[in-house]
Amino acid sequence: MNEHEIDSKIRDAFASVTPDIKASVLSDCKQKKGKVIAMSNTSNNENKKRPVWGWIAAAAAALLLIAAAPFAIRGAQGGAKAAAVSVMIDVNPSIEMTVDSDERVIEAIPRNPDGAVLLDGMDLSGSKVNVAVDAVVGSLLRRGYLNELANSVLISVEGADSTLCERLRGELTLDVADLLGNGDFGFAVMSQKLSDDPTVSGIAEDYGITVGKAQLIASLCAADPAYDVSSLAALSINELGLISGRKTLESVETRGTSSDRAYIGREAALAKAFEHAGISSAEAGNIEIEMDIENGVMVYDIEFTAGGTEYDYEIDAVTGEVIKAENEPADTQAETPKPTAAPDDSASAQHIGRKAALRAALAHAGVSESDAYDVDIESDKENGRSVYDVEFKAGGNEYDYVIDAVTGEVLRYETESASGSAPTAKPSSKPNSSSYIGRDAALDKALAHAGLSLSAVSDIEIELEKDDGSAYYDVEFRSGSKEYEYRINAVSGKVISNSSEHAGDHHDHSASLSLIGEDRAWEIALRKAGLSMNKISGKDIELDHENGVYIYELEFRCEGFEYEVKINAATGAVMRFEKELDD
Amino acid sequence: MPEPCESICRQNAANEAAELEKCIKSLAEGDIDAMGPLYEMTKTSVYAYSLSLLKNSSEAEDAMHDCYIRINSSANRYKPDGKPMAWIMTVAKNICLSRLRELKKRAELTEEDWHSMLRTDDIQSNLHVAEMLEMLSDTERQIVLMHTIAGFKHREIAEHMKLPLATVITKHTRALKKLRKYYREGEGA
Repeated sequence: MNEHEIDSKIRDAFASVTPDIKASVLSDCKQKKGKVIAMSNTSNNENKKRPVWGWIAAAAAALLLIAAAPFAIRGAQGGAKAAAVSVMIDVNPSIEMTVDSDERVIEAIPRNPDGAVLLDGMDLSGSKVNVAVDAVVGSLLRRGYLNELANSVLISVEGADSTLCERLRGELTLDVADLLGNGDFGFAVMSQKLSDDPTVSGIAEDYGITVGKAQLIASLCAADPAYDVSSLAALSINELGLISGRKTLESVETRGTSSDRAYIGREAALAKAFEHAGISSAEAGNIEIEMDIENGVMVYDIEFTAGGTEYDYEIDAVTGEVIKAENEPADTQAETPKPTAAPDDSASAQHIGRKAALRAALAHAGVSESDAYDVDIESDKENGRSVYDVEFKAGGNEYDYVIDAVTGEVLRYETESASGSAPTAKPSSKPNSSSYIGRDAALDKALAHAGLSLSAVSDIEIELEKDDGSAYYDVEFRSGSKEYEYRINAVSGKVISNSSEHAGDHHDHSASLSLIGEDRAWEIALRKAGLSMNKISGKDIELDHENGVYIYELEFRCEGFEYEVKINAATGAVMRFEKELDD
Repeated sequence: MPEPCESICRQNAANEAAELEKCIKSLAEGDIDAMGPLYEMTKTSVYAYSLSLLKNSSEAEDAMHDCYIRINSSANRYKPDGKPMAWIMTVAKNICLSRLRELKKRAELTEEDWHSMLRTDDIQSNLHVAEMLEMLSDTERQIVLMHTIAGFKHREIAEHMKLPLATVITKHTRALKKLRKYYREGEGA
């Protein structure tokens, strides 16, 4: 049994359950062809109808001006002039104004239902565009679309005359910033000149959002390809403004700061992360906080270092819940390790914390904390349940525990004789893992030595190993038909040893590697089990390669028991012997 | 594994990518007939991936449907880069995630177990797989399925899941270790 057999079993299983929906897909695709998706707004509307602020009077004055203006201007105006520029305003209501070469509004068009509500009873035609924009902003305030929780406006300008576009963009941005600057909840005005990129109009069409918002999303995706359009499309302009944050977006100018008052705030988020990591704010350095979206949820993305460890947190921006917690030894050796205790999140309200999880595993294994090394604790989810996956080595054995993160109960465990021919002696002094270069750096060193780029290799395996107190990374990868094996000093990054060989079936190596052979392996396994060949059934033997050692993995059944034996294929040493009830 | 098989597999993967890109291009040009072969080549990957995210077979089926509709409507936005599968899986991911958000909002999603999700007439062999998959964490399961069914490389999975490469490799190794162990139990059952 090997990885490929597992693979094909999984493939078969899913192939057999994949539903046949080809006919309905094909017929729907045909129907969909040529259909234009109606504009609808997907942003949240919950921030509407906020209290009105006193200073809105200023904006209201502009509105009065508008109410009077059309008569005067209309009278003077002869025929309709051609549109020179389009000005779009997105908050949640979205409005587009076509503007002629005299900078007067030809028509104001709502681009979503909220836009229609906003424009109801307002006639902006014939007004100067700056006056019209002021009026729109005034109405946005009055109706509570702009408020202390959502204070961001996106202005997009589109037109053939790029000088005019650029000038209008600049002037209108300043106007709106001035108007909002009078308020007491800050503001953010983002502005951009629209390109005629078909990708942008495609996004707008697909998600039923305005072209202005679509271009902002496209800029965000260009700045960080990790974003996906659909989750950004669901966000409000204010949320997009928060995510844009300190990122420099090409073609988007931002004045002011989007409000994060709907969220717990940076300080509170940072405090949550510190609490989870079990460190004090004084211990942390290199703190970076950014707002981000993760699976459709607004999060604070927090990074900091403390005690030679790099922490990466994602905190739910609304609930303060820790969504992601990762830590790893800081990659840079230059960093001065602070003498802090190991991270401990025992303070976390729901979870027992890494330390407690380790204690539970150690207690179960009967291993004292000082005897354990190579400790690796990961928080994980299993079937919706939060667990800690605790791995450690002690006394030549490898332990792998799954601990319930809430109750501390041992859900599963595995014990295995540590890989290698003989149990590794416990290092006399525990190497300080914070000074290791890290797996990625070890891989880089190996790749550099092999003269290969990351994209040229596959089947990468990296393991941190310790031997006689010195630590190294065993790095394996494949490029073309060649398999490479490197041993990299975990502290200095120096290549200790390397080898490469043409990949082939491991069985082909048996002869050249002077292995004990399958017959001998069976002999050893059966002797260990106290059985003879004619008594057993369900025989399976496989030559495997683990951590640079060839191993025979044998399986067989006898009298209701299932046996699993691992034998060092070179020395014949029994590395693992398992006998369990065959259910 | 024997080298010739490996190189044939790689060759096949490259051919399939080229074939898929051709289909996407045809779709972009309005040739809906290209959906048939594209569907056949990708259906198991799309379904398995949707299932691993949504954990509900009828939701996964709906997501799969939406995914192909979206592939058709956005085919003109695919920029040929030799990785059509990555694009298709991103489309699937987007659909599943927005569906998941909706479902969570309405609190309607009841997680099925893998036994019921892999239920077929040929129940025996699938039961083993269901059991094996239940041993894995959500992340491990997604990695295994992407690697096994969609044929993603570790690097591609890392890009797709926005995880560090080393994390993907470690989790995959760990998952395979668990699978090897539980494979036997399934066989014995």
